[in-house]
Amino acid sequence: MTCEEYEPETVCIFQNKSQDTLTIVVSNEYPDTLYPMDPEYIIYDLMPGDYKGIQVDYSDWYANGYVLQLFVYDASIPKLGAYLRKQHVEMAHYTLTKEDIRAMEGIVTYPPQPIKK
Amino acid sequence: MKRIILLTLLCQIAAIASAIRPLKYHRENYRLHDFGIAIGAYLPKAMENDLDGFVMQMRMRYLLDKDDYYGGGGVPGMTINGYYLYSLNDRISVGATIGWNGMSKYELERYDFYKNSDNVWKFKGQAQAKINARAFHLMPTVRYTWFYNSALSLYSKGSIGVYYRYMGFDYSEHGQMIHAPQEDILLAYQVTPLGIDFSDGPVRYFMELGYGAAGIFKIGISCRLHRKWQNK
Repeated sequence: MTCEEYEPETVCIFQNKSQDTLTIVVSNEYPDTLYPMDPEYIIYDLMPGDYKGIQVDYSDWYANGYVLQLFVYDASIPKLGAYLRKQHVEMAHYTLTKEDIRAMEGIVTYPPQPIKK
Repeated sequence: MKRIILLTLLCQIAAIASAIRPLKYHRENYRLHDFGIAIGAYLPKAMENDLDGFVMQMRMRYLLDKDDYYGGGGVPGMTINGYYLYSLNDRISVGATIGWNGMSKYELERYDFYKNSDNVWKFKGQAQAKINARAFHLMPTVRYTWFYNSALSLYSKGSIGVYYRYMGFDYSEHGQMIHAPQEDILLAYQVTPLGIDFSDGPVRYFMELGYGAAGIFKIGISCRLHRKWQNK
């Protein structure tokens, strides 16, 4: 029996076009659209003008109806945790299907911009 | 070459067969009291999954973050069990198995903050919770010995009984305490297709391969009290 391992793949670039330093929480828990109970991973301190690749496991990415969720917070937020499910202090919340990411040509920006379809 | 291999095999089979000394059927000979203690490894995943489900339920309800830790609750996936079997005849023994399952412990926490009028984050308080799980099983057991000689026996076993599981949830938030245990009594079983028991004497060693509440692989030590040995 073989055990298949999936390498994370960069599926889009997150670009910080604002003047704020950001923290981005990546969630694979859709259809739960609240702050994830177990965040996929967190990108800390994304400086103004900076960008970072968002990586997703192949197994998730190729699953039917995959939706990527990104929660954007001000980097000064004292602690990220499950209690943010109630607080709703995120500066932006992205719910992106594969088609959305393709339509944005793989570049997700903050502040959010309308998707051209 | 083939003939040599065949002859060697036949000689070996003959040697093993000559070593087998089947006991003559006599009720007094088979009145064996067999008791032992064993350590089992690799519990069915469903047991840990149930605990994970309970942890997730509590995390969702109280908005807690999980911080796994290993405490004095035993090694997850391990079991310690003991058994007693009474031999009805040279093949069939009946009795019971009792055991304790090692399960994970979890510590959960939440740090609360708020933004004051100057738009600055301030610490509000901390909430903490601990989940401790314990599980025991008690299963009537039947063993069928399908090969034995003075030093070795091969057998199969089957057990079915009850599985008691306690999952304790202790939560404290700003001085408020909540104790919410969850207790379940579930069906427990253990199927052991192959068991090997060896040693020439009342104290014996055994290994078992099976599936169920007592683990997939078991190793232990047993004692068989026999009228013949008792009289020695």
